[in-house]
Amino acid sequence: MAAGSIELINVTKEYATGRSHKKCALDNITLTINQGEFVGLVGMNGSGKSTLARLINGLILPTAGKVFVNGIDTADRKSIIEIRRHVGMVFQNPDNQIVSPIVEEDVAFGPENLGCYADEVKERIDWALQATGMDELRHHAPYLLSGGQKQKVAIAAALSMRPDYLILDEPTSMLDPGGKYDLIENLKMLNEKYGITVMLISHHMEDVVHADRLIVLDQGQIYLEGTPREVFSSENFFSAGFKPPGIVQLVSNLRKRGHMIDENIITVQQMVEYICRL
Amino acid sequence: MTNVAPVIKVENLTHVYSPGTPFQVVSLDGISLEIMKGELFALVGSAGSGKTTLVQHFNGIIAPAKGKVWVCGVDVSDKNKRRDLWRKVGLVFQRPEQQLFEETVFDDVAFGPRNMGLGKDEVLGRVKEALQVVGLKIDEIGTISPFRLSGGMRRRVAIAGVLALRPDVLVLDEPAAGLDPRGRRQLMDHVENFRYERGVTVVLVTHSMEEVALRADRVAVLHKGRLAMGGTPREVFNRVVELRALGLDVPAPAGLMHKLRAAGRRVRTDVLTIDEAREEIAMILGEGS
Ligand SMILES: Nc1ncnc2c1ncn2[C@@H]1O[C@H](COP(=O)(O)OP(=O)(O)OP(=O)(O)O)[C@@H](O)[C@H]1O
Ligand SMILES: Nc1ncnc2c1ncn2[C@@H]1O[C@H](COP(=O)(O)OP(=O)(O)OP(=O)(O)O)[C@@H](O)[C@H]1O
Ligand SMILES: [Mg+2]
Ligand SMILES: [Mg+2]
Repeated sequence: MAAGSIELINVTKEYATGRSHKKCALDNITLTINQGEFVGLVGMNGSGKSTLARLINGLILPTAGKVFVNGIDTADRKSIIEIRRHVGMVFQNPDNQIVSPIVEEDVAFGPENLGCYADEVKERIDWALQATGMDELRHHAPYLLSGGQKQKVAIAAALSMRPDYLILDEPTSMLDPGGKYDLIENLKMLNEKYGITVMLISHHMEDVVHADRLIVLDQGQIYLEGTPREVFSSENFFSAGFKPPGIVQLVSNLRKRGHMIDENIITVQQMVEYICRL
Repeated sequence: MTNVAPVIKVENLTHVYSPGTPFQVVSLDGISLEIMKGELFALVGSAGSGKTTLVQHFNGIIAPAKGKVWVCGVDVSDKNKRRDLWRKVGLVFQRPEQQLFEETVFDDVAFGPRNMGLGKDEVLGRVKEALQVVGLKIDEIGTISPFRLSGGMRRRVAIAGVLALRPDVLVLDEPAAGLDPRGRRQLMDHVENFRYERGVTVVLVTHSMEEVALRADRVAVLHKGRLAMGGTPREVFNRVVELRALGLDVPAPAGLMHKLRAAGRRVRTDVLTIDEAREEIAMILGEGS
């Protein structure tokens, strides 16, 4: 139970689905996420991703097993506030997250609650609103915004907290391509510059190509785990119905045709550089 | 004549939210377009560009305040006619899972067909088919409460509710957001089948440029409530600089070609698919060896 990590030890989560029916959402998971890591989490609908995320910030408790955040047991309800300080979360549904009738106040809520000084709060809000492109709408009402705009507000609110661990549950689902690009760049920056641990849940493989580690959940179990490149080239990845990013498909396509192009290429930029070196 | 008549015609449509307040937003600004029968028409644009506002005019949720909209030949400013549009035009809302309300998955999907006055067997058949299209099994989850499902599964139930109406015009507002890769593929394959088998017209709002490249006949680009670009995917995705300035992008294969061209390689830039990109790169590699 080292400090500076999230640990799940033999974690099982069951939900009641009727008087005598249960659904096992997570099945005996053991997993460590170290501070400073950038972890991608993918999996089919209902595989247990959101359940895992909610367990980590103590919103729900395991049916069996233990979850520790920096050594604190999430079942220790006295420490729940401290856990929430460490673990920032962007929920799958942005409506569940909006707390204030004004965009700017919503983004200020986190840093103010953390006890930041006014200057610091202002600096963080300005940065987070700029980073998400929501600056122009800072005085608007979040509930009257478009779907993608709401999602950006939820992201800005989480970014402004700069928690040790930032867990984002499908934050890109309603973002336009530009917004997606900006988010990934900002997460990389927070991860590298401030050592913020990122766990990014997504159905888009392009979103997670930069992760240090990619975890694939299937029916409540860890199905695959490794670097994105390792996962994308695994037979089991394909057979479970996943497809790697377009560039990875292109590379394997070319290799099948007898062009011995570098199989480590997973991004457009790497492909351009490779070809230009020829 | 009927074949060439547009199924949806929009003329100089303008929409303003909270008019006359400090928070006034012009969400649509003089939009004109036509969508033809059987077409798959894609609508793209950055967050807040007006896509949802526009498509909500197509099944009568929003009445045109300024400008005109005809759907299946009906002028939707006529309140009585607008009310009946739901029988012909199925709109899958953006984040439709917000609208689930029945006690069981079955009842939720059956709500529309029952409202149409269909018989029990017909309702059952339609619910079964619709759930199958979205990859859910009626005997596995039919009796479960939709609120006990994961986000993506709830989304599937909500989509099934609209499909069960078997509409002539299917308007999909980011339907695949939150669907897993397999679910997204299956849904869009079925939508294409509806087009070929039933002549359904499809309006698809999406942030996936790949989906537009693969599936759309035509695409319109909205920006701040205006129509910024329009054409076939091949035409529009060749304008990469303009698209990026609007917060959009081109599909990865096209992005690669544009970068290679910028680096001085002689490749086509109007590619849409991985296969087309492969041919171009195979040429370069062939020359290299
Ligand atoms: N109910 C509302 N009241 C006030 N303004 C609104 C309302 N709904 C949308 N808007 C504003 O109207 C503009 C267009 O919104 P719309 O929802 O049509 O965008 P969109 O293109 O669908 O965006 P997204 O991709 O994020 O879903 C945005 O600036 C938005 O903030
Ligand atoms: N409140 C709940 N009550 C009962 N069952 C639930 C509840 N929440 C989730 N489940 C079930 O637990 C399983 C895992 O759900 P979870 O939301 O963690 O999946 P997910 O991987 O996040 O899926 P998605 O990609 O659709 O968001 C699913 O089978 C779901 O039906
Ligand atoms: Mg989820
Ligand atoms: Mg929208």
